[in-house]
Amino acid sequence: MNSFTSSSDHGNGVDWRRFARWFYGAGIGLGIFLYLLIFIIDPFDTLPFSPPLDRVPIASNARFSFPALARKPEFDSVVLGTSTSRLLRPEMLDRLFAARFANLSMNSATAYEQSRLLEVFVRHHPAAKTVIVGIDVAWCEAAEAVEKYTPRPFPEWMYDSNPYNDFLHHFNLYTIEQAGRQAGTMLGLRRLKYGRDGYTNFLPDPAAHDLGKVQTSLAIARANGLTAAKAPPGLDPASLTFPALPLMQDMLRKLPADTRKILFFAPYHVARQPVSGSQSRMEWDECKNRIAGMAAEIPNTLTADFMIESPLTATDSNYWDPVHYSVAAADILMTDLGRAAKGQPGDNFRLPGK
Amino acid sequence: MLFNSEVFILLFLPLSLGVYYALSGRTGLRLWALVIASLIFYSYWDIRFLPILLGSTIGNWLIVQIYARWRRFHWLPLAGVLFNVGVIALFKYADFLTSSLAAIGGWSHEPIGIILPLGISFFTFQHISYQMDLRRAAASGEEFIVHGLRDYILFVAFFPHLISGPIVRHNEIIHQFHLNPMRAGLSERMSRGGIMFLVGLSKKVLIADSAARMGTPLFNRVLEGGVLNLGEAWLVMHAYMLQLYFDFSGYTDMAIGMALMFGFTIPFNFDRPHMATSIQDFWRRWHMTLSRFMRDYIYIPLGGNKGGVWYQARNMFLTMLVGGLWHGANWTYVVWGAMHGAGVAANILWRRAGFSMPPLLGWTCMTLFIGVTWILFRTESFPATWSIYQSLAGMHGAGAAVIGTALNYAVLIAGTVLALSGPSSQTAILERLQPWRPIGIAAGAVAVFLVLLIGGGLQSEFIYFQF
Repeated sequence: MNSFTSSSDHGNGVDWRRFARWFYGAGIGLGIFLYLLIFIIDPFDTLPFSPPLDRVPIASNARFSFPALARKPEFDSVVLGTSTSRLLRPEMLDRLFAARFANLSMNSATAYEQSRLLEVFVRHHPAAKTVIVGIDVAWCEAAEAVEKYTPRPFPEWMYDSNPYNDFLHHFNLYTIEQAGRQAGTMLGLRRLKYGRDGYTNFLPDPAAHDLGKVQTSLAIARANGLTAAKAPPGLDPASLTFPALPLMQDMLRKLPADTRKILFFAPYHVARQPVSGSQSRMEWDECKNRIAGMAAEIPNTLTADFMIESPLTATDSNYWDPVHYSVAAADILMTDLGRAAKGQPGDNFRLPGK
Repeated sequence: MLFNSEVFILLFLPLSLGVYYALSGRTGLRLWALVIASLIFYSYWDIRFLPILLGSTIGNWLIVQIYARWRRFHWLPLAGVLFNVGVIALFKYADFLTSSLAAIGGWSHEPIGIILPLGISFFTFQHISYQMDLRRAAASGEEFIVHGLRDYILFVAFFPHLISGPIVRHNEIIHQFHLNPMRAGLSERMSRGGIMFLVGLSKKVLIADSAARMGTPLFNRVLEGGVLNLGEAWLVMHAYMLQLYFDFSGYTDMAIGMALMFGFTIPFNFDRPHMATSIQDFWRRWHMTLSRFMRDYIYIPLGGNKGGVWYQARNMFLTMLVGGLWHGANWTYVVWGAMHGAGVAANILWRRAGFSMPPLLGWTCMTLFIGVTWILFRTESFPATWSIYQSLAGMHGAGAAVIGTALNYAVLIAGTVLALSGPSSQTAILERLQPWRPIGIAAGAVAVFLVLLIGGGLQSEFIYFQF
């Protein structure tokens, strides 16, 4: 083996000393430089003591972008849900509910992810004014256990009550990339991915709306509905398990009594709604009943069912696909949510017991 | 705590080195600090395993102490070996033995459900080696150095080699514990050690993990009942050969590099195994410290090459069979060991009969044999292995593999070229590396890149952690 294993040098000790200095110096120096850069830019806007720069939600995975919004004091109300809630515009909700909304709906968010985000919001807004939750399959899937995550990374450390452990999770290529984007946005070189209130119109240009294509997808959804499994005879709906519902109950109970809680069932196109007699219909009906029962026991809680046959859900041009409605339909939905909150009736929704 | 994690690279390793060198003038404290660091490292995985590590270590140390004090207990070293075999039998093979017996007897069997403590196969072998050496010394009347508890714990638990080797012998390392770490050559050791660690880390996260991204989905498909076409089967075999080699040799390079940073040299484990031209040659280059252990403590006690060529072939077959079982408590490992035993035995018979083979043909036979047998090693399933063998023969249809990204393929090609033509890490880093400044700066930058890379996702475990 070489000289380094023996107890004496063979003359090139000085060279190795220099080499070691350059090797460790370059590594440590570059590492510190990059970490300082990350700290200053603070791409996710979550690091304590980072300089007060004008940051925006930058990561395309909203699970990294929205915890910072959930902490912002300029909001007092929030929308949670999946892509079926993302088109609720805070600016319009603010007018309807006399509040300051952030829309923190995330694509394909699981019930667990939504509940974690609400925890952050409530931790920083103990007197939250209004909480709107869009309910779709994320909450009403009849299964044995709840899926906590999707394949998208979910940074748990951003959602806990300890902001200091965030320092341990920032030294990686993803954060460097996001820091570059954040810097690009600050310098005006990049467009915003999400609005500063979390709202993004994720739909294509309205000019690209092709009613023929939409109707094809609706026809497929309708055909799938007609061939869906029938409810097994003798199956007692009470025996069904909805693993996400205890999470919702827990979430709602933790909210202050004064907070207005609005739970709305997403307005799937009527072609996508479960057909009468199917197992899926039985599961949805049971889930709706249980949520309505839960809401009745929690103060200041309202449920509004938009997953019904209505002018809104029966108009093909309101949709881009069987689940995702248009911006114009979102306006109708928001107006109707305002009416529901006041206890007024509407053609597009059903209130419990009515 | 994985070597390829930020908590290890940015926190644990620098802290351990810092404390160790801060105490360099005080041998006792310095070595105890290293013992404590090693025990923290091991407990970080699962603190429930710590009593097993400490219990078996103190138990072995006590046996040697008692023997050294009262020489009349000649059976003690053998009892020590049996004690270690018992420990590994209980934790690793109890379920396998009882389920096999139940299958033979037709009884029902409930798994005992003992969790395999991490690294037990490796640290138990170090104990066995110590007891066997004691037994040999006792039999031949040679002097045997009896080490103190601190040195013995450190010999077994020194964290760079604790989980997956190299399997170190006591007389290779314990005397080094007492060398002053600040002795001449410190900068060279820190530089070569640090770069050796980087080479291992690169092998793991750049090549092995990339190969896994191609191979694992294909293996999973077969294990779930699907089949592979011809192209996929050859790709999966190739990808796994590279994954296993760069994963395990990467781990070993990291271990050797870290040991050097502490001022110790530990034995090499790989010497360009994919350049071997026969199966026997392969085992002289692959997991060399295990091969050495098997040779010294199983093959030679069985008679080695005494008694003629047939006895030699038999002894080699039995040794490889035990080696197969060492890898895992499953009949697939026994069969895998038997395949290699048969291969090596055939190799011996061929050579002793005076036949020879051109190196290129020898290399081709060796590579095919190793690739084909790794499939059983990987799947741990006879039906899945048979299905892939059929696919390799084209019985599930022709077709190309459509999996992975262009980058995955580029890495696969680079890994292949490196495995087939590159020098061993120890030659490249510990012998050829010169203290040239641009290399130092580039290595520092690569280190930062690799840390950034592993910081973003879930780190994958090293394959040999399961054994």
